[in-house]
Amino acid sequence: MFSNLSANRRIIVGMNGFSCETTDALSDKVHAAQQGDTGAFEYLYRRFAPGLLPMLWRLSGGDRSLAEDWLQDAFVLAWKKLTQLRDPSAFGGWLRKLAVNLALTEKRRGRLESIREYTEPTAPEPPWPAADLDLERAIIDLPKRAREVLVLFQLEGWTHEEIAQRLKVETGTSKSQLSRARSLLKERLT
Amino acid sequence: MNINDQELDRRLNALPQSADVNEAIWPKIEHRLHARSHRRWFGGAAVAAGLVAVVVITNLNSPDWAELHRNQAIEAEVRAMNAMTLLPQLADQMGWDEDMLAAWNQYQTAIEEIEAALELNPGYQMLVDTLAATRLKQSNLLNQAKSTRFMNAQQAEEAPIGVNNYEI
Repeated sequence: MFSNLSANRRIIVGMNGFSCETTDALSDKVHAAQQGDTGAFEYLYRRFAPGLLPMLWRLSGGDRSLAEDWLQDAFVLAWKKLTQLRDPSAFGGWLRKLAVNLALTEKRRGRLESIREYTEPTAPEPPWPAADLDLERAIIDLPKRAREVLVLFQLEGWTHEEIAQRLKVETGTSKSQLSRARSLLKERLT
Repeated sequence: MNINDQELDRRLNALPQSADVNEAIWPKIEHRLHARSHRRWFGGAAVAAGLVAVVVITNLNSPDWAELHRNQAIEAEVRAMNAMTLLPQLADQMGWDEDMLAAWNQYQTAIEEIEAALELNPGYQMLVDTLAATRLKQSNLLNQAKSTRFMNAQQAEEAPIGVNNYEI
């Protein structure tokens, strides 16, 4: 796969520890998508969508249908805004931020929920083989704001300052919500 | 016995960060991408079709809908249709920044979703209402832009405008 790897190419190492692709290859796909190549965009979708789904599912409070709606919306919006992305190699982080912003837009969520015709069961399971189902359920049962802060800080690596800015709260509020979330999780889990 | 912080961190760090995605999602996205291209190609014509749809749906399925709402929907559609056609020039003339365009585009995305939902649920009153309200809010951005431009000219200074200034 990397037989033609030149010295100036860097290898992106995925979270699962094996090489995925070169930054050049990824940038080429992003650049092609910016020119309107939907095939290249499909490649980007297949490369990045799996990494967005767990986050969106947790932010949605375990609503798979809503999480998949957000996933769709994120990629449609990304397609529309792709020409604004100046550094193609930053596509992954840019897309992730875009997806989080979509998920956190409160009025949007209210609108989508209002036209939903059914509700998820009370104890939903994640749409993947969950090794720690108790923890997944405890997270999605958290109060919304506490859950959002926990996901963004603990699982997405945002700083409290970034969270506070996005959620329009004080930094101290973000910290207290994280503390609350962790306390609730510890109470719930044995 | 409850778990401690170290155990909680260990379990949180072990949560999966990736999952297989439903194969049915990409075709829906692809359909929307093509719909977008189609929309760009035909420009305001698509919005005009929306106007017709709103009027027809309103007349056929919503006899109790208030006249005011009907007029608002039609007015909003007409304004949006005009704005869609003139948007590039307007954006340039009014000095729209990226935030303003982003707000406009977010409304547009919402409108397209509602229109898609209406295709599946024609005559669904709440969707028709939501479409009209969203169109109105989107077209109101034009007024906001005019006001902002006027105020900026008056004060001879630039005030930063964030996307959060616009009601999404």
